Amino acid sequence: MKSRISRRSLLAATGASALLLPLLHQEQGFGATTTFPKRVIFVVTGNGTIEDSFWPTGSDGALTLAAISAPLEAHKQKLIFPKGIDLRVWAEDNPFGGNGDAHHCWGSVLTATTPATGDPPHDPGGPGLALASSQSIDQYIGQEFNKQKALPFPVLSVRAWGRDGSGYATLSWTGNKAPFSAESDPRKLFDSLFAGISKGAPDPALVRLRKKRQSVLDYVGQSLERQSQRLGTEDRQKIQLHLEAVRNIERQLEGGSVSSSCQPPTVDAGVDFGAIENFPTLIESEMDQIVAAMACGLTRVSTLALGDGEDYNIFFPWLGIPHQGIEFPERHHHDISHRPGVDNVDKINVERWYMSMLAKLFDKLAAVPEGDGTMLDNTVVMYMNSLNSGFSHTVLKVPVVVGAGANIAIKTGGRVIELKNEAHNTLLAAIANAVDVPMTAFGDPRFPGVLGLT
Amino acid sequence: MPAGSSALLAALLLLGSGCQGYVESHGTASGAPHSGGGGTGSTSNSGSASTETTDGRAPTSATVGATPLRRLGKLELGHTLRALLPTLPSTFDVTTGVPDDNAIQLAFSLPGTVSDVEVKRFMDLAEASLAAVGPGSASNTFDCAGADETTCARAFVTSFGKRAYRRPVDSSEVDDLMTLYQKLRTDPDMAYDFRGALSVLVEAMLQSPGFLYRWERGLAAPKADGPLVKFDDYEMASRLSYFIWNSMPDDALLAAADAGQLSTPDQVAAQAQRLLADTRADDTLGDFISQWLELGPLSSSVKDSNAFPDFSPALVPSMVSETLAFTRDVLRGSAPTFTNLLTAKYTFADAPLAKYYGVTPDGSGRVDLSSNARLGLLTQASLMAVKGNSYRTSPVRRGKFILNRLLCTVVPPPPPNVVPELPAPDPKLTVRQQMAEHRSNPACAGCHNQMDALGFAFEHFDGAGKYRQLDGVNPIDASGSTTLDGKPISFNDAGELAALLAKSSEAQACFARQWLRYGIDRFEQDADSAASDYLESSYRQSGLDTRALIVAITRTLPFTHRAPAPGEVPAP
Repeated sequence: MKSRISRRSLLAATGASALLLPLLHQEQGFGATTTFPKRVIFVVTGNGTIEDSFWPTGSDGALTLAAISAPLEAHKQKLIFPKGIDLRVWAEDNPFGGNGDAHHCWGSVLTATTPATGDPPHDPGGPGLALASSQSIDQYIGQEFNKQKALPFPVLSVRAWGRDGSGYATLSWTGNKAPFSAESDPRKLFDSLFAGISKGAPDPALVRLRKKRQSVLDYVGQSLERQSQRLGTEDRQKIQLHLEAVRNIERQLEGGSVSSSCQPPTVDAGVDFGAIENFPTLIESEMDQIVAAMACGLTRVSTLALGDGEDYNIFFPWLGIPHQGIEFPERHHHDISHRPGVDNVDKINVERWYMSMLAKLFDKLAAVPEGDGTMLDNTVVMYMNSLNSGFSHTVLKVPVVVGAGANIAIKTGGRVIELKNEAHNTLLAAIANAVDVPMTAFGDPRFPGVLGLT
Repeated sequence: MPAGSSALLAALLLLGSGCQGYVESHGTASGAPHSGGGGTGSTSNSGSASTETTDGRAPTSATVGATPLRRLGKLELGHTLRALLPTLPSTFDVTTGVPDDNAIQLAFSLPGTVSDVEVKRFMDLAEASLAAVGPGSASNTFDCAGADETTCARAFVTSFGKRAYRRPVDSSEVDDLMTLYQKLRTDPDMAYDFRGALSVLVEAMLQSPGFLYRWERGLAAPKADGPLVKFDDYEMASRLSYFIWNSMPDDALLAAADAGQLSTPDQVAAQAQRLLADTRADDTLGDFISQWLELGPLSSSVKDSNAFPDFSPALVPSMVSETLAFTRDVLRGSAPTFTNLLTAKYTFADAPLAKYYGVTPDGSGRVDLSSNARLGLLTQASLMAVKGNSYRTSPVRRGKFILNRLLCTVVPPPPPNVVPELPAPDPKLTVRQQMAEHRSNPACAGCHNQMDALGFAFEHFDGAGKYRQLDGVNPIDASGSTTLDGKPISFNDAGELAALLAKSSEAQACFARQWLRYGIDRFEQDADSAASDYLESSYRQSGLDTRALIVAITRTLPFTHRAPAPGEVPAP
């Protein structure tokens, strides 16, 4: 049959402007006796905190949260606050030298190695783009999970504002100088994850579109393979990354089945996600989608970047902090964080708000029933701020919150763990172990070991 | 004194003053910074013999740097799409969803590697482009001349593919595309008709490496030329068009490649002249200056309306227009010189900008600046505003800009464990007075003496680019002194500084190197030093003729050749 399908009618039917359309069938399930896999979510912000207003006080099980951590009250019993985690790989040795602009340390946050210096011959000297030099923990865990059961998204990497591509801004890395970009558009995220979900027989128009895309990508992959044969080693690695990405998308298009209880969220068509006023709405939409993707069995590992290490374009009008005002310095997140003083009221309010968003993530996880409990029981969330202080750029004793549910082998109960110069490598290793990905060390071999969280 | 040596001296003086900076020239391929220039091996002023080929063949002793594989950048991709699909509506956004390039300090944009998100974006762009040109339009202008559909499809792939991939398509690649074609036609779930299938083939080509990467060699082995690798004719066609037009070659360039006429420096330079004379080069002249002046953040900069009541974001397009119009006028004119770019006493202003400047343009929008403090590019509102804070000037960023982009000097980050105790702003003091600790504190003075001195020259231009007589209620001291070309200099204001920079051999050499970096899409390495030194001196000897420089670059070895890449096997 030679029929032409109008793209416009196709777009109208799905209500989205950018489709990837994995083919996902909802199974007609018979009841809910399943064991649920363990999930991990890494949430990162930058530009530091005001320490005295962040760390809780009081004894284990009876913590008093401080002004910034207060919004986490409802989930306190499931939290640990490791106090004394340092980004040692940055503190000791980084491409910028010395105290070296730790606004640019995101290439180290989930990799726990020192980024590459420069990128000759594009940037022969100096810090260059601070490209990470190794695979990040989320990618490693996702790879290990994939060996047990291949999922469409071994890692679901998402960001709210910020940029991608360099060590200044990218958390997730598949390897040396290989950034794994995050999806930053909630609508495109939705299309990638959920647009193909259908009950019953799939729409032939969607099948046609999916098959076309698979066929095209098949050709693209072939071309990449042909091309790489004549290239030098380094160029071949770039093409290899592209080829892997093409294969990943092909796998996502192949789809599979999701459980009948899979409930995709909706994304409000009227919201302008490009307006900073809607930053909170954007973050919530992304969190909803991450949680739903996990509930639907599309992924088990997610990274969520709120901004990037610099945040020059993140303002907070909903907190009553205007864009402008004669004051030292400016009113975006970067410069709010650069003001000295423990009484930096704007910064305290900003950080408190970030913690309230983290609390919402816990709320959303707790709202998904799994077995006799909720998804939160089967999830560990690691929050980290890449700086302790935006003013001094120190990466010592960075803010960390670990939240874990009942089925995760982490002893929570609402406690602060006092540490001294503990390399964050051991924290990442502990998170991996907690989701049954065993390791005795992660990242830079100078900092082996596993932080005791059990 | 050859340019390399004065750069070395300048770097030593910087080092002597305690600022561990370095002149970013002739960086080694291994990435170690090089303290100063100084050609290695071949002498700098030996003329063209060691810097370009003889009848297309590289001299046996020649060296040249490595050129990694590069993806099309955002601007290049947009222009290429429009050239390839001329029926794309002008309202279609060719950059929608395309990942931003990375910005490289002291050089130009660098597209990153491709991960899952980028594959999706290129897919979206390809599909949206074909949807925008309408069903079958990309292939509808292709005349099958009575051939059967399969034969016609093959002919279309060969013909369109040559333009899409900027080189003849290998028969194995045609076969791969025909396999796709058959699948599209015969798979019962797809069952595309003839024209529909050809559209999908175009989508596929737009997502493939032949289109997305600068890979115009195709499946052939790299071409050995002595110890070097020579770019073949199709690669040269694209190197020329992407340098001068930021777009794909036109039919004439591709025809020259077909005829093997992009092989000698004369042939290449003749095409470079032709491309430069075409209006398609205007965008590139503007793009170079915009990147060189680091104007990118201007469109999103936020300015305090109390500090700058006359500024509004609506002024930004006027500011950008001024810089582009001025640049175009100088570089297209009879004296396209570095001197004019820095010191010409005129500009172009539309009505909003004229009001902001307090000037009266003539009928063509031209503004005479003879009795105005402004001159050239450096005091234009665009640069002054992008290198200004939201509520005041930023002498540090302005000074750093001069060091980076006018003098090709890297300023290192603050020393370890510097925790600046910055005081609250004091409106009774000028910005210079408030930054006094930069100069009195030995930990800061090493670099800040030079940086701040350069930046304070611009104090009469506020953080939103408007001229001001006073800083609040305080008189402005825009004078300063520093070293340039190894000698002490002083200036009373930005005008005098601009004139000194225009005459400076360091600055002239740096400008030539910036153009070389733009043209070859990478930093020059030690192995490029002969060519780099030659271009610096020939730029000066030509009277700083920037158009001649652009053409001269295309003749040199870093443009026509590259070092073999480890792991590849060149064939003669």
